[in-house]
Amino acid sequence: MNRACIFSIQRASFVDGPGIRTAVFFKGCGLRCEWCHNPESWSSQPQLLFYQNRCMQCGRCRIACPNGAIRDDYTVKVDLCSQCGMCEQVCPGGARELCGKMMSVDEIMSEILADRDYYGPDGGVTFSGGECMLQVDALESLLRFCKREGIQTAVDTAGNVPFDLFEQIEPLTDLFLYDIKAVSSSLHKSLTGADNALILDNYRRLHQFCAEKLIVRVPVIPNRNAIDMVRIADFVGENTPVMVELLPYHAMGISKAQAFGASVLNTKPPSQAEMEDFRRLFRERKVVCV
Amino acid sequence: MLSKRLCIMAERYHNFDIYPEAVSPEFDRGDLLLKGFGCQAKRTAEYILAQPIGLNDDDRFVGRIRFNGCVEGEIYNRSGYKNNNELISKFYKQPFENLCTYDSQHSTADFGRVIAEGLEASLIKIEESRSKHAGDLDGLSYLDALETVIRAMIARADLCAAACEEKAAFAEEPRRSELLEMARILHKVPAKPAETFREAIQSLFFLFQFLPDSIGTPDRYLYSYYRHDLDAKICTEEEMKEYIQELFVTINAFRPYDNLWSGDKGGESHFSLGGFTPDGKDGFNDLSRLIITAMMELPLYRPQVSLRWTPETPIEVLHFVMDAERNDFFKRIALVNDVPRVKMLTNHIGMAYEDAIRYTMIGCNEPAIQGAIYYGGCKTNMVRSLTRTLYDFENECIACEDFDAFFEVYRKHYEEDMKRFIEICDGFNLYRSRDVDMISSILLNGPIEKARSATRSGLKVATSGTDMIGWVTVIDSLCVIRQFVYEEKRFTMAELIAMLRADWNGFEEIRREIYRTAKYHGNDDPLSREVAAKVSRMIRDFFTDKRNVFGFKFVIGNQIGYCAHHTYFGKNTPATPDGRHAGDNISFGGGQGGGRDRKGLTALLNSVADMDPACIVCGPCVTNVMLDESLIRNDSYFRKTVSMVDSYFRKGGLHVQLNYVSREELLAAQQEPQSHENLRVRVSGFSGYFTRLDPGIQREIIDRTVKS
Repeated sequence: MNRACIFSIQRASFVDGPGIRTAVFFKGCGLRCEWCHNPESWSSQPQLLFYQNRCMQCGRCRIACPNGAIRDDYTVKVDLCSQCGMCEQVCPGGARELCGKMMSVDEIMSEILADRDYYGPDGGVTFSGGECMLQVDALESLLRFCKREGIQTAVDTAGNVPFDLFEQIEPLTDLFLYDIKAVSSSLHKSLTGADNALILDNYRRLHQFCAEKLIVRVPVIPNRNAIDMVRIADFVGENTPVMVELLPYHAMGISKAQAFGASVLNTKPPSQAEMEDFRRLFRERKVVCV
Repeated sequence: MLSKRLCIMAERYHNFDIYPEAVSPEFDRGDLLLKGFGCQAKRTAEYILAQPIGLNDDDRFVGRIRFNGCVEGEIYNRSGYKNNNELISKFYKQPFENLCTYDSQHSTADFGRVIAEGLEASLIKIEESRSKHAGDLDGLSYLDALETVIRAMIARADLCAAACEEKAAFAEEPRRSELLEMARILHKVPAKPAETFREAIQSLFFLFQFLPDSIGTPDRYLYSYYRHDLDAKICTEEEMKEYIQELFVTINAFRPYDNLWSGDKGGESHFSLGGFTPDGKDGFNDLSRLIITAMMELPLYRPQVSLRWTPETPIEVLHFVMDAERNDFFKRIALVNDVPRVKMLTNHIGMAYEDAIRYTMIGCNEPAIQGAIYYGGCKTNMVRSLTRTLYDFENECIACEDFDAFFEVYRKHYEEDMKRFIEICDGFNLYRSRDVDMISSILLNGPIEKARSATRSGLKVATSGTDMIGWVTVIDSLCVIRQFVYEEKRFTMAELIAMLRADWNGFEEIRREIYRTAKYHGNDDPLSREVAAKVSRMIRDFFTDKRNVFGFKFVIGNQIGYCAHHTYFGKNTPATPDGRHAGDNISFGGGQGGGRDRKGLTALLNSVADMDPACIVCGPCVTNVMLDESLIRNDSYFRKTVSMVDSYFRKGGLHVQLNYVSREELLAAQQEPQSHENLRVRVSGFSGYFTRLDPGIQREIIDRTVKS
C-alpha cells in the first residue's frame, strides 16, 4: 500500500520519543479518549475544520461549495460535505482547513528525509495518530523505506489492533511507544469508549516478543485515570524491565476541538508534586521512568 | 562563585563611573605651527600624560584612561574622530537616496602581538620603516608621530607604576607587597614583552584603553601564559579567573552609562573563543572555559562573546557554552560557524588560511581581522533595486515571459544600485580619511610598515563591507512573483504592479491569500531555496571583483546595528510583492518572522543554512530564533536543542542567537514597561533591555515566530 491518510506531519518534535524526531500523524482511531487533544484524528476520512474567529463572513465558501453544504451561519452540514476542499482554497481568512489528506509514501518520506541531518543517533521518525496501525500496509511501506535510509523508527500505538499487525511491522520498528490509559476495564471503557482486554493482552505479548523495544506511555489525567494509577503501575511492573513515560494532561488541543465541533475534556493539569508521586509508584515497582 | 573583592568591584562599577574624569590639558597654540603630524602627535602625548591615574584600594591593574575628544582623530572610541562623527550625525540614521546609511567602523587591536613583543619593539620597527621611507616626508612625519605617542604610552605606564609605589609607602601588608608587585609589572609592560599571565593581563588592561573595542581572541594569545603559569605553579586558575574578571569590569565600564544605544554601559565590546587552529583542529581550550566561567559569575552587561564553532567542536563544549547562555540573564553569548566564514575570507577576500583563522567577532556580530579596521560598512537597502525595477521599469517587467527573464531585469537594476553604493561608500571612506589616527595605528598591523594612518589604507589587511538590509524581503517578494505570476498564474505582472501602486488597497483578499499560501523563506521549500540561491549568486557575481577606494574587498552581511535601519529604509520603500505595505519595516537578518515560517524550527534552520550557497555572507549577520522556554528549562529538551544547533552548523548555518521569551510577554512588556524593566533579549548583535529598545526593533522581535 503506497498511500495513507495523514492529518499532520510535525518536524522538530522533542516530545515524540528520544532525540529530535519527525512525527507523522495518521488519521483514524478506534478510541474516543475524553482528553484527546487531536479529535480530528478520530475519523479515518478527511474532514473540514472551521475556525469561527477567523471567518469574515464574506460568503466565498458558500459560493464555491458544489454541494451547498455551508449554512447561513457558515457552519457545515456534515452529511453534505464531500471534503473537496474548495472552501479552504477560496477562504481569504484561513477559517477553513481540510484536515487529513491522502499522501503517498514518497510524499511522506520527502518530509521525513528533510530533517535527517538533525536526527543524530537518538532521533528519527515516529509514526503516530490517531492509530497508525489501522493503516498498517502503508505504515509497513514507510518503515521499510526508513530502514533503507538508515532512519530510526518508532511506532506510537494504543495497541487496540490484532496482534498479527505487530508481528508484521516489528522487524522494521526500533521502538514501540505503547499507550496504557487504564487497567480497570470499566474505567477504560468509560474514558475511551473501548474495552482494554486486547490492549493489555497485546502488551503482554509484545513485551515477551521485544521488551527492549518498548516504552510504555501513560497519560495522567486528574480525576479520570489518575485514580487507576496504582493498578497501572502494578500491571506494568509485572513485566520488567521496561521504561515508562508519564504524560501530564494539557489543554492545548481545546481550541482545535472547538474548530472541529467536538467537545473535549477541559480540566486542570496535574501538579509537579502529583507527577512525582506517580513516578514514585512506578519506581517502587522497578520500572524506569523516562 | 564571585570573590568578595570582585563583588565589591562590580558593586562599585554599577553605582559609579570607575574611570577617572578626563582632563583637557591646555595646549600651546604654537603646536599649530608644527609641520606634518607634529601638532596632533604632541597634543596626543600631552593628553595621555595629563590624565589622572585611577587606583582604588582593591585594584590589581592600573591604567584606566578615557579620551574626551579634545585630541583629534582617534578611531575608537570615536570621540575625537571629527570627520567620522560628522558623517554619523548626517548619515547614520538618515538613509542617503534611500540606498545606504553610513556605518562607523570597528577596529580590532592585535593585542596578542603587542603583549608578546612589547611597545619598544614597535620603536625598533619605526626605525626600520624610516629607512624604507626616506624621502617620503609625510610618511616620516607620521612615523615621528607614532614614536611620540608610543613613548607617551610607555611613560604613562611608568607614571602608573609610580602611583603604585607612592601608595605602597603608606600601605600595610599584604596590600603593600601587592602594590610593589603592580609597580614592578608596570615598569615592565607594556614596554617590554609579558612573561606571566598577570603581566599579560596588565598589558592587555593598559593597552585596551587605547583601542577599547574588542579584545579579540584572548583564549589564543593568552594561552601560553596561562599554561606556563599553571605548569610553573606561579598562579592558580582561581587567581587567573579573578584577573580576567577585573579586566572585564573595566572593559564594561570604559564608556559611561549611555541611554542612546541599548541602555547599557560598555558599548559593543565583543570577543570570541574557539575556532579553527592552524592545524585545522578546534581551538576551544581550558582557558576558553575559564573565561566563560569568569564572565558568567559577573553581573555585567558586557563584554559579549561568540563561540566559534567548528566541526571538531565536541558536543560537550557546545553544551557547556549553551548551558551558560541559557542561564545568562544578560544574554551575552552568541554562536557562529567558522566553516563558511573562513571559507569566505580565504576564497573571496583572498586571505591565507593562517590569517583568516585569526578573525574575531566584534561589535554587533561583526567579523573582524585582529590588527585591522573593518572599513565601515554602510547599511544598504537591498529592496530598493527590486521596487525600482517594478515601479520604474514596469514595461520591462511586463515583457518578461518567465521568472528567469524577470530576474535578469532585476539583476541589472540591482547592479546599478550596487555601483552607486560603492561610489557612496568610497565617498564616506575618503571623507573619513581626513582624520588621521595615531594611537589605534600603533595597535593595528601595517601603519608602521607603510608609514600611513590606518584611515588612509595603512593597514596590511582590511575589509570594507555592507549589510544588505531587506534580504529576506527580497527573497519573499521574488518567491511571490515566481509562484503567483509565472507558475500558478493567479495574476499577471501588470496586475501585481497595479496592486503594489495601490499599496494593496482594494486588494486585501489577494494580499491575504498571498500571506496564507506563499512559499516564503523559512519553510524549507524548494522554490524559496532556489530563489534564495539565485539572490546569493547574484550578490557574489557582482562583488567578486569589486574593491573599495583603498583597494580592499567587500564583505557582505545582513544585519542592523543598534538602530532600526530596517525601519528607516522601510519608511521610504513602497509596497512589495511579499504583501508588505508601503512604509512598513523591511527585513533584516537571515531568519523569518511575522508567522511566515510555518513548518517549525528545523525548517527555518534548513532554510537559513541553505540561503547562501555562494557563501558570500561572511560579514555581520544574524539569525534570531525565538524558542519556547520549555526547550531549555527541561534538561532533556535542552540536550536536544544543543544537538539541533550542532546539526544546523554542520549544514552550513553561519550564526544563531537564541531568545527564550514568549510573544505574550513581549506584548505585555510594551503595554506595561514598568513591570518588565528587567526583560532582556538578544537583538541584532547585542542584547538589551527590551523596554528601552527602539520601537521598530521591538516590533521586529515580537514578530519573530516562537518555536516550541
